[in-house]
Amino acid sequence: MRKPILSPKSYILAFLVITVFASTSITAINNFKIAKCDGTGYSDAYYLAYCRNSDDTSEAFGDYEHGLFYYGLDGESIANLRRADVVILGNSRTQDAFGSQALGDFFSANDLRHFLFGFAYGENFRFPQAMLERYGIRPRVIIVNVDEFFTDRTTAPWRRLRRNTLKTRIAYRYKTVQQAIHQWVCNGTSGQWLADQLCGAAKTIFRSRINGVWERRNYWAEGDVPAWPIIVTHVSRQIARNTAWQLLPMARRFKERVVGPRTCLVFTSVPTSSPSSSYPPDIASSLAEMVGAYFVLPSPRGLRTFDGHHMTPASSELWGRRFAQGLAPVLKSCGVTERP
Amino acid sequence: MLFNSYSFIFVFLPVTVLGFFVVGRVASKRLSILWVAVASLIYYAWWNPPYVLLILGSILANYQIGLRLSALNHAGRHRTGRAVLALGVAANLALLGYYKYANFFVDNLNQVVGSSLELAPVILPIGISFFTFQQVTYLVDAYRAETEEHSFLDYCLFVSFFPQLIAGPIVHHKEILPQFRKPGVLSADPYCIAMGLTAFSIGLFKKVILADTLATYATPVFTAADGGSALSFASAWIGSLAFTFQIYFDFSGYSDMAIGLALLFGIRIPLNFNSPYKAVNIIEFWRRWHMTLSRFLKDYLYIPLGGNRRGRTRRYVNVMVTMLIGGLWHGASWTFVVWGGLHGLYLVVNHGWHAVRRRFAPDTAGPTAVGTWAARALTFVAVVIGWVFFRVESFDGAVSMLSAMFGANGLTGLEEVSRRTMAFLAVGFVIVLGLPATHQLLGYSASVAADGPQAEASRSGEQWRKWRPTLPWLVFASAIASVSIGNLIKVSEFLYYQF
Repeated sequence: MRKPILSPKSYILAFLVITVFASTSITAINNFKIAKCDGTGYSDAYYLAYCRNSDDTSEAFGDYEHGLFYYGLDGESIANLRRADVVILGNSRTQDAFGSQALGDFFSANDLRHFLFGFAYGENFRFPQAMLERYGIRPRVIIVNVDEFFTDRTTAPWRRLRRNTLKTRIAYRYKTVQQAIHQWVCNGTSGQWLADQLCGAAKTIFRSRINGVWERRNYWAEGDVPAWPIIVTHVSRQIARNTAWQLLPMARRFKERVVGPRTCLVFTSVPTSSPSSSYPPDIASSLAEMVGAYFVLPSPRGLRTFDGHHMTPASSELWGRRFAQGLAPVLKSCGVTERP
Repeated sequence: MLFNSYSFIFVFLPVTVLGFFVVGRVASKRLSILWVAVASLIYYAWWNPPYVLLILGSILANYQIGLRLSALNHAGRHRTGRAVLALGVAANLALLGYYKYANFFVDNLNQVVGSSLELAPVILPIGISFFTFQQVTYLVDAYRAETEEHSFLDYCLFVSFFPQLIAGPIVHHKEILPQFRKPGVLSADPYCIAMGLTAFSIGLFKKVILADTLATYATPVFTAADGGSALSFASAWIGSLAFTFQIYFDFSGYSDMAIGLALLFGIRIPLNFNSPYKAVNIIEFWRRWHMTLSRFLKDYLYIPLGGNRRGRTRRYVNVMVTMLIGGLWHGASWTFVVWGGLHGLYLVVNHGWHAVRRRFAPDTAGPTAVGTWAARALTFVAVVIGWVFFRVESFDGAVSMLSAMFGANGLTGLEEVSRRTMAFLAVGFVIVLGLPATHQLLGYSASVAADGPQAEASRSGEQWRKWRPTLPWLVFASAIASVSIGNLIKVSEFLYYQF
């Protein structure tokens, strides 16, 4: 039997239509990595910021929060960031240390809106600086966790976003679509069978649209938070000054670009359990002095991390309370909490 | 920007092709040629913008030298012509030598004389080996009065035409420049576009699905070998076989994509592969593998060296010299030279064997089926051994691989070979030995772009248009294209980009 011959024009048209549709579908299915992520943390106030495979060998869904701010994918988050009186910057350790109810209550009590603007991947000043500039954000107070904040390193998500390839643009937008589907499925709207297929148990972080606080899922078993003691390392004044001197150009540039004349700039240093990544507060203190920033360093006893790096929720509460105590006089000194 | 990337497939290619058709329709053919030439230079600049000046300078200089050579030829000033040719070829080779071999030369000089000379790291301009050879060919033919008159724009497109710019085929000016003047070429021909999309899909599938998957088997083994690990017999063979298939699917996939892309513009470029692993001896292998490089080496190196016209010994020396240089062309490393030398040796043995047979058994009947398969197997194994030198980064790595392959570590590791691995290698064998090559599937005749009356008749009679856009072809082409594009998760470079 002779095979039916199509006209070349019909062949081309059909080829393009089928290929675009089928390849888009295959790409979408291949990249539906969110199915491995926990889906229990969604709400009107929370979106999925980050998720990785539980065996820690690959990213799975990976980063979303960097792309959300870079591409402006969530208007509410950006509006709240713009409205914030206090913006807190730093790495993932910052997110855990400053995410406490105690600190939130302190800011509320002082009639200040705060936004926790730290990021995973050991994010440093480059990405938040770019975002603060992009959105013209000039809060009354900027708190910086100096712990690896002023470094020359460019993190993987920021490198990808700066290249801004079509693939990256599509990938982040597709992650938005995945979240919508994931939320719908995992909230139980679509039925149990689909939820079993698409709602995993990987380590997942949800982030608040209101104040940027993280909510972790599956990083520890229920009621069994691992606890590693915090180690604070110290260096001599000379070493601290020398190191701070090296960081000074980056810190000054940061200050020039994002800190307004009336902004109160506060440095701190969040402690950790790992001696290799522990950041001596002496350096942060020296740098604050050189830059002309306030320095607040609470030193409560009994702080713990759940993984050697990030504070446990209980330690975060303790740290937050003490930090608030240290910050109160600074805010007064800056004129932030003085009422007319 | 790689052919197997979203930016190429969904942005660069549609914009270039649509722009080409629109400009051709509303303006003129000359402007549409300009459009493709500019797009090709943008394609090149995408990788490293300043280097576009290098290729533009090279094109401009070679065009001027070519014009000068033609003028000298017409004036009968052959001696001056020879000097200009020597200067032109030397300038091209100097450019290639600087960018590709300067650090290699300095490193070796330091080792030999114990000096400590240092050169700043040189970034190799992609495709320089290809466009240099292409233009050397042009200069030699201009000197021989074998070129036709053409504009700078035509010449610029001939060199920079993006489907073949980075990794070949090494097109000959006689194959391309005459096409620019033909009606129907460089215009929207639905038949060519349909065939081109199909060829591109096959090439993309070879690269993304076959080559990149095989790389996951080959790369860890060669990395371990270079790292000094002792390999098992099974893993060494799996690694070398996987690389043997990987490089074929990678490079022939690229060539299929290049042919397909060129067809979108109505241009036919030469074949580069013709089922090389079906070869029954090494001579035939080199007639089927990277055919345009073999042609260049034969016409512009082996024959000028004297070819087979100066006795048997000189012929073998010429073969060895040609293959050693061919090896070095692939990369500035002694492992590539050894690979070329090994193939030179294979070719000498092959020619010697033919001479012995002609002398002592001239009337032997053709080979039996068993004999053919035995010869094919022997050739295949010889090629696999050669690829070890091609792929390793050090001679220690080659020794580690080859000693394991020849059982120096015992016949170990067989029990660890997974079914998936075996299945994938079996698929590789079936495709390279059992299935026709892409051009055979598509009826894309090897002679369509060649020179001569037969090819001209073929072109004018459109006898090459055997392929038909049928429903099964539509389903097949769109399926493999979809699967390939759907799996462009991690874009990997083509192996021949580095050459």
